[in-house]
Amino acid sequence: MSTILQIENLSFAYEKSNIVLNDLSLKIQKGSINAVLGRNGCGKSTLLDCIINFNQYEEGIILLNGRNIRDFSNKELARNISYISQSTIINMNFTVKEFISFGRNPYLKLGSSPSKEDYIKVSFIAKKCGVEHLLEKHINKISGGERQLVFICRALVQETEVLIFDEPTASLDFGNQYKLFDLLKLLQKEGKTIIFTTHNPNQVLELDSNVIVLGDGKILCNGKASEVLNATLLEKIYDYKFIKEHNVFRYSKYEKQKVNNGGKPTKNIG
Amino acid sequence: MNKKGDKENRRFLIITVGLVFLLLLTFFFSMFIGRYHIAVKDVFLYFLGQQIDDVSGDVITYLRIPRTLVAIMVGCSLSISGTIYQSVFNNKLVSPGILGVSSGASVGACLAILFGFSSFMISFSAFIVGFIAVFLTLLIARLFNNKSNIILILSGLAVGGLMSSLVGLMKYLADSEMQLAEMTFWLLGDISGTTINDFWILLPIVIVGCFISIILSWRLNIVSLGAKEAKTLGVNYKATMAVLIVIATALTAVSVSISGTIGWIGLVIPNIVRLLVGSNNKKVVPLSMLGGAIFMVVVDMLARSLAPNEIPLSVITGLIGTPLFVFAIFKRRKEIQ
Amino acid sequence: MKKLLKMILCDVMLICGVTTLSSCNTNSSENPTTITVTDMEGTEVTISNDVDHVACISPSATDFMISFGLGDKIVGTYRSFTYNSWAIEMYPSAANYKAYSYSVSAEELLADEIDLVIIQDTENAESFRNAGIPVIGVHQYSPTGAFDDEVFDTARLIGDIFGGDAKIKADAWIKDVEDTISDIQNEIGITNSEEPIYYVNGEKAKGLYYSDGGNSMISRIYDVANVRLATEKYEVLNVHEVSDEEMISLNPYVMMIGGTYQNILSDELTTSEVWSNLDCNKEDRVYRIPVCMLGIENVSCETPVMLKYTASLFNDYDFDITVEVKENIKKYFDYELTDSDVQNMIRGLDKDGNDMINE
Repeated sequence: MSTILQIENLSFAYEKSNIVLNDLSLKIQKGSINAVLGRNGCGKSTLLDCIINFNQYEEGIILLNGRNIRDFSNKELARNISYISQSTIINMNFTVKEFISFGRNPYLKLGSSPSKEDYIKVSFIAKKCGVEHLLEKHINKISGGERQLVFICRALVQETEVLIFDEPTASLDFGNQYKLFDLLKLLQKEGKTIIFTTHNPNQVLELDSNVIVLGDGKILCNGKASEVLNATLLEKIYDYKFIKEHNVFRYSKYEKQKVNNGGKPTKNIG
Repeated sequence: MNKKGDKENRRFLIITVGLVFLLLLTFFFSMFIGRYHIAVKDVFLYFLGQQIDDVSGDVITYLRIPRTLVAIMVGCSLSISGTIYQSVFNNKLVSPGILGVSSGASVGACLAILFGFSSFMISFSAFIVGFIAVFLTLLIARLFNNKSNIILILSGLAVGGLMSSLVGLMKYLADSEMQLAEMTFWLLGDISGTTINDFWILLPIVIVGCFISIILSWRLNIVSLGAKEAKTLGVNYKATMAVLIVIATALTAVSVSISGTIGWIGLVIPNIVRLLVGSNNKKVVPLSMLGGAIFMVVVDMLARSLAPNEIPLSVITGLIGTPLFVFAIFKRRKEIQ
Repeated sequence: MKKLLKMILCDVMLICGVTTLSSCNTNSSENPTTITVTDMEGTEVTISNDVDHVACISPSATDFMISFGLGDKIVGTYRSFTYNSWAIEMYPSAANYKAYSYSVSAEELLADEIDLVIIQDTENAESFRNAGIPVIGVHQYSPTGAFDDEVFDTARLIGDIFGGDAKIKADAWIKDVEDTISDIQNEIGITNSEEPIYYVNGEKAKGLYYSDGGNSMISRIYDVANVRLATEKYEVLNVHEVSDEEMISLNPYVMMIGGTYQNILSDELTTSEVWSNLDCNKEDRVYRIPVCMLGIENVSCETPVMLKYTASLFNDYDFDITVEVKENIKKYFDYELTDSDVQNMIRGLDKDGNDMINE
């Protein structure tokens, strides 16, 4: 397995007083699924923003296939990394087909628009993701789960090696979350490298993907989820005592503990 | 799948050709219509290069042709400007004056009138100050570290308000009847009294503006998604935004500098076009150009024919524009809910 | 005790009542210190007899007041009155007049110690009256119908308010106008001519099409001269100015341009390609209206001259403009005009033959 993405000594602060990422170093392997795990506000999204070169970080370097991402032109970078945001409401009434075709922009010259071949690719990807029947519909008239899939289709027609997802399960219902995991596994099989953020360690365990744990702007650990995630680590991140049972982190049996201690709690749980 | 794509393309082509045809038709209609009666036969003879009586000939040459051509330019400019701003700000209720260019142009015009400059300088001054107003808006927006476009809109409102007050101040300072009358003209919107020179001034800017808008039309879709989305799709957001805002501002500024402030077109036409062909700017931009031109020619025809005196253009655009706008919103009511 | 108090109270009230009643008579027209008149808006106004700080915000009224010997009572006048250098030439004190607009504030007037306002636009009359300043509203058109008897109302009001010599002069002017009208009508008869004359109001620079309505003074003047104001037919729409094409369609028999901006407008008329097609332009039937103390098409002491001048333009009516203007100005303003003065006035130029508007 080769390294596709390398981050070295990355530091980023929104303001002088607000340091979000502190001297981060990280290697992402090609063809891996990576979950960036941490509590809200720990810098997960900020890290993604740095990788897609959206943030102006002062210190550190990010290499894609050995090349500094700052040396890529906009289009070049877009041909290598695609980004799937949380699917917000679009004000303009694009059709699903039009919306997915936006993913072809990195391959289009100034002044041109998607060709017949581009639209063939769009249909193909839509079929693959199971949204072919939605192509003529307006992007605002489909469900949240369908919209998320459409966003993914757009990223897929970009034909990139790396796919970055920002909190992909945030607006998905229980069933759709698992359908998404299926898709991620499928994409991994096709050789894509996937990075996504989540605050739910159980999802990561289900996928048994690589996990990068962020806390206090630093990487607390990096490795296979089943090996690396333990209750102590999670307590450090979330400030809550979990119990790991059958490969799932559950709420700690507070009441049971209280009873065992004669009615007094063992730890201050806020 | 491709069949449907072809069908859509064919539909778009039909609508485009239809609008071009309609534009030519309205142009010719405009040559017949007016308070001074000219026989239809004479209009044809005129355009075939034949001699007709002097008065009719002069009315067509010096009154109807310049006005209609200027109307086409202005209608086209304001529509594209509205289309661009609506996409850039991802808000279908935005009009060309949002960043303060119209009110800024009014200030420029009034300032030039106050100092007694020539007609050309008045238009030039309107154009320049229109840009300055937008520049001011962008400057103020920069003071906030917020990357959202709402700050831009709010700055535009602030600058627009400031400019309106300045216009009021200048009207107050006007110490001669002539200055006051001239200033009032600017605030109402008026194509009467335009000459063929005004058309020549408008033409290059409008051609360049249209050309660039069409080239960037597909990319405009992506710009409407916001900075981050645009970047990850390979668009240089800052540069593209800069070009778009400059084009939209230039088109609005030059229109206002020739014809004064005319409302509604930039707001309504793009929305009507979207009802017909959807939101893909590849289609919306060229159709807005045509739609705006046709609309303005019709408005001008009404303004100069309904009554013995000139009805201010904003009155007519408002009277026609409001129901059209309500219709467009009504059609989209489910979205809004 | 109560009964006594009641009686005293009644007596006090009675005494107060009688005193009040007797002082009520202060406002009768027989009282030597005030006079009550009804202005042209129909409002009854009571004015003290010793008014001497007048805001005369009406060019016509200013013309009358200067002529009737009341010029020194004027503190300020409508601003465009002093744009006309002839006014200052004939009555130098006019140079000291303040310029008031119709929207002058009541406080400004109080600060200037104004004790009477004569004004042509009564929008702010309420606020002046609330400040205790009497306001006489005048207008130079009829809101209801033809401007006939109301022609005389402004002068009559001034005569009534100031009495004495002013009243005599006002009556003299009224008679002069009446005599002039009957004289003209005796000579040229009364016909219902449809000859359209387009009057261009060049008092404000509102362009070549800015005219007046069918109930105005100029309309009356044209009626006497047996022609018709072109914009009269639009009175129903309240349109006082027409568009380019409408003007070409109208093709007026004559165009008459008045006001201090007449030279600028006349240049526009003759140099524009569009207007080259108008018959009045081709056949040299564009006439000017002289500007003396003010444009003489306005209700003013110069009205008799305007009536005769207009009659002579369209009928067989003898009229020597130089003689008549000199006589009129001598009579009403005690000023000797030279022949070249008159020539300049006729073309809206100042004493040195220059355009009065320098912009």
